[in-house]
Amino acid sequence: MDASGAPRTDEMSDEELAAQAAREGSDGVAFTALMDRFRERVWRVCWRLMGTEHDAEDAAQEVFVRLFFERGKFAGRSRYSTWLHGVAIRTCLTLRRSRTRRRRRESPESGGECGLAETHADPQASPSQAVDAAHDAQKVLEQLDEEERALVLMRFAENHDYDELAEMFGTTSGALRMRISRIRERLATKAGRMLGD
Amino acid sequence: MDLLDQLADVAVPPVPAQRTFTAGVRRKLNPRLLIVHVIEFALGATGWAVMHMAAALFAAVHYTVTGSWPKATRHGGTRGDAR
Repeated sequence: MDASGAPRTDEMSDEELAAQAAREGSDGVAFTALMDRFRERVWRVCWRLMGTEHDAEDAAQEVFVRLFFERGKFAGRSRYSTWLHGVAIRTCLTLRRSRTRRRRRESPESGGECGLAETHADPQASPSQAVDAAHDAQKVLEQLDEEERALVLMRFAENHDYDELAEMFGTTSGALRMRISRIRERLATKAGRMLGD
Repeated sequence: MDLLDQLADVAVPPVPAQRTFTAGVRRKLNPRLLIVHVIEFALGATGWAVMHMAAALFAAVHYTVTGSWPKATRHGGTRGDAR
């Protein structure tokens, strides 16, 4: 409790903070506390989905802007963190799609593809074979459409369970299991072809 | 272990510094908030203006038909003007 008897923001649950943020303005303590609390998790999602630090930072900021305007929409049917991840994923997908469209307009012959060279391309980040393999996996992921790519990254890179994913992607966990199984089969074929297995 | 299970091995870079990150959020948020407030104000003001224009129009029609101004309005002020 603070001097006025109100609970301190660090003692409040995510859902309580969200409810308070819905009543406050942009410089309210609850929204600021939510930003501090979720900055790292939003950053992880954005970096995984966007591929470069610059785009990830832009996307993460955009997520919080969207979160501010949609702060009254959290209905409490799921955990706040799951709902926020959903917002982050939708924001990144929107930004990636608009980036691809822009690139297609600027250089029609490249088809708007963004290769591994600029996606997660940090040479210092691949000191081991395991990490090289992970980079191969990311290269293969570029073959998927945006939503499938996001789904695979959230499942395998961020280790979210199917129930959380279902909430984030607005579908059922059974449908997601099926979808991921199909994506796996497709990727196994493509990976073999791309990586020369 | 298949290829996808190795995605988690890619290290995520550190989060940008809090101050620059928050400043970036504010830089994006504030112009949009301003636009939203201007639109809300314009919509509110439009409603108010339409209401008053309609009242004036009604009074003009009333005068044309009856030869006198409407007696009183909810907002007061026209009773004394009636001739």
